[in-house]
Amino acid sequence: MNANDFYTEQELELEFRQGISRFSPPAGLKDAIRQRLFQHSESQGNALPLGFTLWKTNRRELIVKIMKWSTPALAACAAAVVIGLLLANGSSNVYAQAIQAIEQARTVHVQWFDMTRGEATKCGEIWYEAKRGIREWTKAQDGTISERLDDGQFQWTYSSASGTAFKTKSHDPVGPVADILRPKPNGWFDELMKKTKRLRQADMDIRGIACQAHVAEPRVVNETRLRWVIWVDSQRRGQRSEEQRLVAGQWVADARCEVTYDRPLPDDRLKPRFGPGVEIVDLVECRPFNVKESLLQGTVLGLVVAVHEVERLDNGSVLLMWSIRPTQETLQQLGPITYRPAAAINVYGDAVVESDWKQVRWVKPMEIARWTLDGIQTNWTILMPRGVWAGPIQAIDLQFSVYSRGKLQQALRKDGQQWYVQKFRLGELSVPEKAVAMNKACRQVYERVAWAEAQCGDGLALRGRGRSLTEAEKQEHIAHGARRRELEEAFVMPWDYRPSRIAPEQFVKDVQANYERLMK
Amino acid sequence: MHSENLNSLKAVFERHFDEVYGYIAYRVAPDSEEARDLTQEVFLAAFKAWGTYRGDASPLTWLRSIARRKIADHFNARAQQNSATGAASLTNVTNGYTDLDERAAILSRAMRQLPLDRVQLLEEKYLEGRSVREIANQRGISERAVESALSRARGMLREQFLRFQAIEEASNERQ
Repeated sequence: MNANDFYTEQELELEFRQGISRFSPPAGLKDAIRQRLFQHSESQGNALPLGFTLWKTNRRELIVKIMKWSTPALAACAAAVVIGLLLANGSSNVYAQAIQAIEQARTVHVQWFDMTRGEATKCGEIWYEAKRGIREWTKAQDGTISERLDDGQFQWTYSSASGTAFKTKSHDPVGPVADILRPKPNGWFDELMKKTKRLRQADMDIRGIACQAHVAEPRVVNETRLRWVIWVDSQRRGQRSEEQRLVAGQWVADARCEVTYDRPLPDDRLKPRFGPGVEIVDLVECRPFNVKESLLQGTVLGLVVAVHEVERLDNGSVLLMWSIRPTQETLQQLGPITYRPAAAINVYGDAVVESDWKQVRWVKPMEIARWTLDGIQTNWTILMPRGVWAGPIQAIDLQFSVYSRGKLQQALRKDGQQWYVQKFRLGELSVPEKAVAMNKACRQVYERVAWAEAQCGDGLALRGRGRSLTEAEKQEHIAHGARRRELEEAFVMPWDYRPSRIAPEQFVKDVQANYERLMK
Repeated sequence: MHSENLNSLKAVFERHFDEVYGYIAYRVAPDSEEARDLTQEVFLAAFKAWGTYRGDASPLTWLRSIARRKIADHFNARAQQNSATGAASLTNVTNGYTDLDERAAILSRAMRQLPLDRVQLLEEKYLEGRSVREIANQRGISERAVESALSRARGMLREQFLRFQAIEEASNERQ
């Protein structure tokens, strides 16, 4: 071996990748770790559907779990209350009568409480009125309130995190209350209720209504006995349910659900009011953007890179909307990415806009938003002119660095093919003459991404305001060999926002601030 | 953990387990108890932190970043232990690397001597295949700064590589 014979860059790249593929895990290791990771969660999760049953013995975790419940889960809890009592009696005739009674309910009001702090803390609510719609809210662990209102014509979704509500077309004016009004027989709840029996000593009046108590067979989870009690009225409708744990010989409620029927709802409950200062962003006119008729398109590594829209901004930069997706051949070979929620994360490839900064003039890309769905990643990127341009940008020679990912990358590597391509030239893109105000363009990006979020729920990311490293972060990097001078220049731009977490004006301001910082 | 989150983490586990183990085995020592323990630690950490994974990087890149930190912690702890017991040894550089050629084993050993951020930089470039521009954008520094840092990291790696190579050659001569 030659003492001066160190790796070239190409050899280093090859060695890193081949080195890892040399080793396979020993037999049984994967199974052992899988078992440790998932078996516990699975056994608890499967036994306790829809979050109705508490399965954490740790009190703090229990609170976390309750606060994390999504609104649909909250409604399902309500469904459990209502349906549960129907089956408690075990008679199909009674069941049918009860269903009929509930179906006739004009209004339903559900409230859900966390009792673990010694007092009832409301963490969710549903109001429903037949033919008028539904309003539901829930509070997350961090205190964020999420709310949905649907009047059959339009839907409004609100998050206190952004202080913004989005108006879209009606999605579901009955929502999870459908499970209350028309429960599915022989579902998970039927199975649970087969084990219920009368608990006469717990009979009581609830809001002046005489109710009978039924209890499900207590369960032992992590050495704690838990039971579920439901109180039903004379019409066999659920009025209350509780999740209880045995503490020093006493059953103590951890969570409670209350349901009332046919009581007039407050006037403003089904009106789109979300508090003072809340902006309602109207997305009703938003449409799916057409990503098929592209301006430029190219295929590389079994992926299609396409530019769909280009806009000149009033500050001299250019806004691109572009996408990357697998080709039909890739999809046929490897199958589609549709398994959720992974479909909102996984892709067969991604890319970045490239430009050679060693040239006289180039463009500096700043990604501001992206949307991933079913293996298609759509990106919004601002290209900032750098270097010496002889006037406004007329055209850009577009290049991308393209990277295959996942199964596609594995297949390419297996065949001994290159799995990424740097400076893949897509072609020359003409920039329209008419300029659009950057603020307006960013607002439009926000609205389109918000529309996508309303349709798909996840897979969205907006770039937040960049920041310098804190002194603590710098010290951490310095401890690992980084140089202070470099760290002083560092500018971190987070990707952790989505429309429901940031107001449109804030997003526009953040993009502007990032732009100005990067243009320095 | 929410069932959807659990399912997505399961998918990530099934898909990337072998690659994560391969990475750890390569960086630590193949077919060793340490590699097995660290693999478990990485997935346990991923299980706890899955809720904070934002999808900025691919799941595999995210898992590798956890593994990188775990490996660094592991070697730091071991260095302290050796220092305390006076058991530090620079011999047997290629021990355990029966499947690797000698040169690759020395490279793997040399990587362990680098600071975590240098390892991360080298791996982003040569393992993940990220461009200088992409790394620069991600870190918020100029491309020149990235190229400069890469050059320094390669220099450090080369220095360590040659050091271990000399040790290995001396060890072979003694045998």
